[in-house]
Amino acid sequence: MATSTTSAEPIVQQSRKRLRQRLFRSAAADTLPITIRHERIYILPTGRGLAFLGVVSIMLLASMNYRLNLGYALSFILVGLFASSLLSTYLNLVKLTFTTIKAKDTFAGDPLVFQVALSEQGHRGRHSVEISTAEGRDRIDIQKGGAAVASLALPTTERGVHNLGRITLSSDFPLGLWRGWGYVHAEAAGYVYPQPERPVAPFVTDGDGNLVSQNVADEQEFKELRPYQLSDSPASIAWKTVARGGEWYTREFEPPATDSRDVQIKWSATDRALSPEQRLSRMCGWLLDAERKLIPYDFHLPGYDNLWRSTKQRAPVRKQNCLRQLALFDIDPNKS
Amino acid sequence: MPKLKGFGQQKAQPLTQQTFTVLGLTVLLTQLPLLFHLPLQLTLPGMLLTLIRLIPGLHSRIRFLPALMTPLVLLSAVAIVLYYGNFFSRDPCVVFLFLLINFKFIETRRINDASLIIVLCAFLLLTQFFYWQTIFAAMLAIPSMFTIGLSLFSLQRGTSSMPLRDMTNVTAKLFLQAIPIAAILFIAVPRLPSAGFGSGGEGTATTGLSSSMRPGSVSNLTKSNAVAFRVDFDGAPPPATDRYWRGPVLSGFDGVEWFINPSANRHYVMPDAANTPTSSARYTTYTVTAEPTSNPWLLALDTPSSLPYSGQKAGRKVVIGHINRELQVNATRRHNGAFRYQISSLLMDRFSPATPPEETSLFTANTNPAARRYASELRQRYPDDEMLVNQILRWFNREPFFYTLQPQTLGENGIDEFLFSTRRGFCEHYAGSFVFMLRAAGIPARVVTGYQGGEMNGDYMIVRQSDAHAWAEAYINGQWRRYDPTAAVAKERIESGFDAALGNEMTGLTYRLSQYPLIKSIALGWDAVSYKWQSWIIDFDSRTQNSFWQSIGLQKPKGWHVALILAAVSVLWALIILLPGSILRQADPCVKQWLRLQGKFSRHGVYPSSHETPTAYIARVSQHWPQHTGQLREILSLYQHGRFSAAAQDRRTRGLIAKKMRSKILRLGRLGAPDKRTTDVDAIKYAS
Repeated sequence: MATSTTSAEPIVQQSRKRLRQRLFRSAAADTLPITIRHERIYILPTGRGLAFLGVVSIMLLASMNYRLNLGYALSFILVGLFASSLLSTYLNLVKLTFTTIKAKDTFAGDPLVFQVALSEQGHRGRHSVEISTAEGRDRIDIQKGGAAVASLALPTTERGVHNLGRITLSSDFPLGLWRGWGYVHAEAAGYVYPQPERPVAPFVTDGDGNLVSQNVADEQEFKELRPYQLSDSPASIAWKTVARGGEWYTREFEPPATDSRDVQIKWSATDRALSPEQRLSRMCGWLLDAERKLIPYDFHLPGYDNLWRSTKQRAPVRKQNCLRQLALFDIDPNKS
Repeated sequence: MPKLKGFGQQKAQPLTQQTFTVLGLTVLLTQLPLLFHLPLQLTLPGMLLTLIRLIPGLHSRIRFLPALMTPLVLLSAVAIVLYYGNFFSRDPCVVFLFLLINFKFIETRRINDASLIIVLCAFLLLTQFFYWQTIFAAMLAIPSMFTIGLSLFSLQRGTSSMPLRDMTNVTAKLFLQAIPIAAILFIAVPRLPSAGFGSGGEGTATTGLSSSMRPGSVSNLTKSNAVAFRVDFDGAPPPATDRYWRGPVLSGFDGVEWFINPSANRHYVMPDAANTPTSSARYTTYTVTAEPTSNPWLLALDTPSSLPYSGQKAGRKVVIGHINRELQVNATRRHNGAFRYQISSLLMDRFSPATPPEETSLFTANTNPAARRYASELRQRYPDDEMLVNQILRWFNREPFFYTLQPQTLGENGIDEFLFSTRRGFCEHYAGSFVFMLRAAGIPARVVTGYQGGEMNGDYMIVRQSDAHAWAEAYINGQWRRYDPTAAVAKERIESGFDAALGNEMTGLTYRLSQYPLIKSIALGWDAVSYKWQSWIIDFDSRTQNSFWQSIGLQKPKGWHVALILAAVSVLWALIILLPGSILRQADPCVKQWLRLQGKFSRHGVYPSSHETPTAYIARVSQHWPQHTGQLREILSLYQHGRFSAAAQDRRTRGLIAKKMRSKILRLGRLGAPDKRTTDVDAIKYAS
């Protein structure tokens, strides 16, 4: 007996956990694309639906009392309307497919926007579909056989990796008498970089100490056009030639005419008096400034082996990796 | 619970202009039918407020001060009390609700205000049925019911507006889907066999016979073409001359007016004991559908031979009336709306009472000396009662008496004036003076009022107010015998009805119009429709319900039977709507297979795009699954063949092609992962 109870207990716990997952999708166990099937959909009457039902029952009582057969007919049509809107609410959600969820990295303090893409597989048009999480919501319509993207702007305060969390797909279409909803919980996260320091603190140079940020000219000298490559930043595309219908070119700029050496964007280069988060903010500010002005820099955070040494060209991937390192940096007092 | 918080926030959102307009339309359309029933001086100001508020531009500019609301409500309450004298009966409450909706509407800004108005409108829509339940009433209710649905929808859409046409389509579809559920509920939900708790107060009596008769009272009725009641006969209807519908029996007399003798209602008789059928007598059983009335009596043909009963309760007939000593049928309780009862009659112009007549049936006031004198002269000449009566009738027939709707006004000794000088009168003149003379001659007699005639319309008979009539009964040789002095003057009144007897005397335009054959046939057709409406919708009760269950082979279904039937029908209804391949949506079988193929790839993240031809789609899919390219091309050509070739236009060929497609799609088996080289991978994923 004793053995059976001890072995049974994990099973009970396990099945309870499984049930909770099935009912509430509390763990991120879904993989995209996922199509919403009937077992995920819950439907309950809304407050307005309950009020509607209440008035219909009063109408039925009045019809009974005064023996009004037309009163019965009217009440029953409204009951039918209540029932048919239940089916419509269900049909509005079922067989919707979540195709992708993307997030655009952002800086702390700015909203982190998740783009949830849904597609409709040719069943019917969907209306007033609400995609929401604990922090954000969006309402979309999807045409029959079409696709649509809901954007959820999540407020951010701290750097790090921000999980989207459980998505609630809901709708009270068509009459607002019922609300149907279902949960989808897939892995989806976006990077939140540290808030860049404003104004940017003066750069710290390597050794000699000649260079300060003020010396760098903001204005850049145009050098030449070269054929567009996929990795080029949209800001540097020669839009004028594109607009004329010509080839796609990228504008190359003359690097600022300074005898600059690499600036040091390093944990060790920041002021020790600042708090760790402030030091990261400062590094973030430097990094952005250097990238904008095309100043070559060295970037390093303790705990990471690689030292990023920038060239005088724009490289979004390099910039993004540095920012993500800043976002993920685990502050450990021993390393500072 | 973040979702609840979200919905709470929505409630305080302002209404969009579209929702606001639809809501105003709902209010006005719901209130429109009530204008026919409620005092206009109370209702019109309220509707005017709503109209003013609906003027575009005012919505945002004028702010109705909330402080004004309380005085407005109080003012309307005072006006209602002034008009009705009370507040807590049905009509004042309806008016108050009516005005409250208007007041609420003018201050409506937010979504939860709108919810409240919609709910109140739904109830207000019901209140019109207190007053009428005609086809017209039902038709008037349809647009406002629709706008209730529409405003709920508009409220749900909120700021993400949708073209009104699309919204109308969605709402109409919802209502169409609602109708089967409404129909089965209407048929199956059990009705209370008797009136509910505290039945409604005010009756809606129309004109009809009254409990007293003075010259002119019946002739007023005959100007009305309104339906008095309708009759379904179990067998063949009786001939026109036998259609005497017995109403109030007037044995009381005060010199001018004939009235119901109050003592007559002290004793009720069992109908079977009251008459002795003879070999020539004929029984008939029929169902009367009476119009709303405030009068206590029921109409019955000739000599009622059974009690009136309505419906069946636990296998027993529910008696709804009694028969008094004078064979007047009285209802046991008041009916507010139209009602039906079944009754049998003996078609015979005489019957033997259980008790001899009272002295009151000999009372003549001390007036009209000439009539008395003439009656006693006749008495001396004809000692036999029967001969005396026949002599008076013959006298009516021989002397220049005229049947007219416009007799001269008569003075104090009206009977004398009528009999010996004016000689122009209507049935009440003839019946009244006839009974007076019989009484003066010592023969117990009384006036019977009711209807004479009736027009067959298809399988049922219409009796109108214009068929109202008065005749006489005299007690001779132990029997009450029916005599109709009007027949002695104008025989055609009895045989072919009132129109024939009057010639050109009827002058009212509507009456004239109603006599044209075309208009008359339209009117009769309409009456047939409204009779069916009355008997199938308005009078649908536990009795009709039981007979319906019997007709589909269910004897007295129990509560759980009904619940089971309702559940089964609802499930069937839901399945028809929900199942994609249901009979309602029979798609092209090839398209179905094509969608199935698309679904297969969609599961792997390769989606069909709406601007892509099938060929382009297959080409794109083949890039991801190069190993299946050949099979996919075959499916594509089958699909194109099935969809677009002339050879595949009949259903069977298309079915065969679809079958081939199906087997080929199945042969694809489980797809491997798509070839990722050509997929669009988002830049960020790529970068990390």
